[in-house]
Amino acid sequence: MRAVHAGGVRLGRPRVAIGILSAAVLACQPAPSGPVSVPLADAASARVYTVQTTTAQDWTGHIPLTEGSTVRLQVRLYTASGREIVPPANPVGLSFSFAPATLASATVADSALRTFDLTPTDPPESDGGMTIRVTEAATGTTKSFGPFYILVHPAQ
Amino acid sequence: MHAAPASAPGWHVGWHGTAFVQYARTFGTRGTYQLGSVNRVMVQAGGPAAGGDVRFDFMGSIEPLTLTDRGVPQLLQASFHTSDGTIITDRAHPSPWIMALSASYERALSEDVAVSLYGAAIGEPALGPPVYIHRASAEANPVVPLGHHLQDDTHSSYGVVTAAVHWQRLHLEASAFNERQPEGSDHVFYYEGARLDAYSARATVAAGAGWSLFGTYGYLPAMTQGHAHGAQHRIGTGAILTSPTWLVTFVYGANDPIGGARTRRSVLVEAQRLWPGGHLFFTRAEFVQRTAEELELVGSINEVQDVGAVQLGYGREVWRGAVTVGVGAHATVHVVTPQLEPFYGARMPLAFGVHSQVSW
Repeated sequence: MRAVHAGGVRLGRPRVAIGILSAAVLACQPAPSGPVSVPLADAASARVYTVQTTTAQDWTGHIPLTEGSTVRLQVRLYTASGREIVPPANPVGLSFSFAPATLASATVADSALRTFDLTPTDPPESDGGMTIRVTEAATGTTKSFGPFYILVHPAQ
Repeated sequence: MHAAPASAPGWHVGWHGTAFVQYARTFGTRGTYQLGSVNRVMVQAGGPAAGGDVRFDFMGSIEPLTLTDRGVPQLLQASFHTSDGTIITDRAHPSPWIMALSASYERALSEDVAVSLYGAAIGEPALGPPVYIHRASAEANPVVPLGHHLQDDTHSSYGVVTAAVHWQRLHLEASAFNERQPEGSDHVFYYEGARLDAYSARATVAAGAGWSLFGTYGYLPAMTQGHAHGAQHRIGTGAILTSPTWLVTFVYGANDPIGGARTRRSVLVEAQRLWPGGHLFFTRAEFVQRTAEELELVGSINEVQDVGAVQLGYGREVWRGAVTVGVGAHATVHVVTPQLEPFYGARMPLAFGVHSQVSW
């Protein structure tokens, strides 16, 4: 293994180092966090969580459905900075589309909580994507998120 | 590496450590900052045995303490989960407590031919270039390459066996290893479901004038838990220059998912230039095809995003004695797609770091 630096024993230009450090300290501005209530126009991303388990599980990357079973899920909306939008500034509606169209069906359970029931309609081993369309009637804003990957598993 | 003779004839013990104490700052919508330490220590013992040479290696880190399980800020780095399931984006996760715990045996069969066998409870398979923490061109650079998931096996494997043949300038290696990774940094060992079901091979040629060229292939089965991925092939090639003044690494690496998803590619150019008087310059330029999953933006952006980063850095040795102390700073310009701009606040979000590096 080699030494990283070679030669030299004197601290050079301490004022430059102090200046850099000062600039770094001044640059310290913690990003705001926590939920925020803003219009749908400020939503940049969405995630899909379970709501019927003890701890909500993040199924954004993979929604595993079981043949013949319905699961209740929640759409969570986030600003670009990652702050969850709770509650949205105005009521929003949800609609769903699937590719292939026969993959599953979804119905809104509670639009205020943005929960919906999802049921597979294709046989086990089928997979595809779900797109969620969120509409804010007060402003006429519509945003689509997806596809979220769905895989249908056989019933036990 | 420092070395000292051991009690057995011909045996030696060597050690080397390095610790960056750094302030890292990233800017933009996903920006943050941290004062922390990237660090590692290596211990090596070896000597003649059974007609060949035996070597034992250990490498460890206390980054789970000095970076916490949230890791160090780095824009566009692949996301990871902490032990409690928290999703962390735009940070490089800390190194595990133990990164290498291995033994190897090498025996010369003739003047031109030697064979070796390497076994590791925790170690590095023959896949891609040497991992960045072992690359001379990255020695003064505390930042993790963005594309390491497409190039090497940066994450220590919990179970590796490698056989190798050395013939003149050619070095052929083949590994079987366990690719499963834990979630979070609180595991020292992780052998849940362990099997040597990942495979890799690497050919390296010493091309002369300080250059070596390599080509590599790996098969990685589908994995859940930490750094989950589908079954995939990983291919790569590159070149490494080692000279008294220039240390350079070129890497092309790609993951080819099995089952039809599109191949993702990455390119890395990394260099370090040394000058008399303890001055050094380092740089790294990368192109990486990130997935929406790696950025935790599934469903909100297209599946694959082309991103890049160009980093420039400077270091200077300020003291040399029992330990060597240097100071340095680096700045990085990242490039993101228009689709990612809202999430990063700019098409070219910035980052910088200042550090002191202590080596012994």
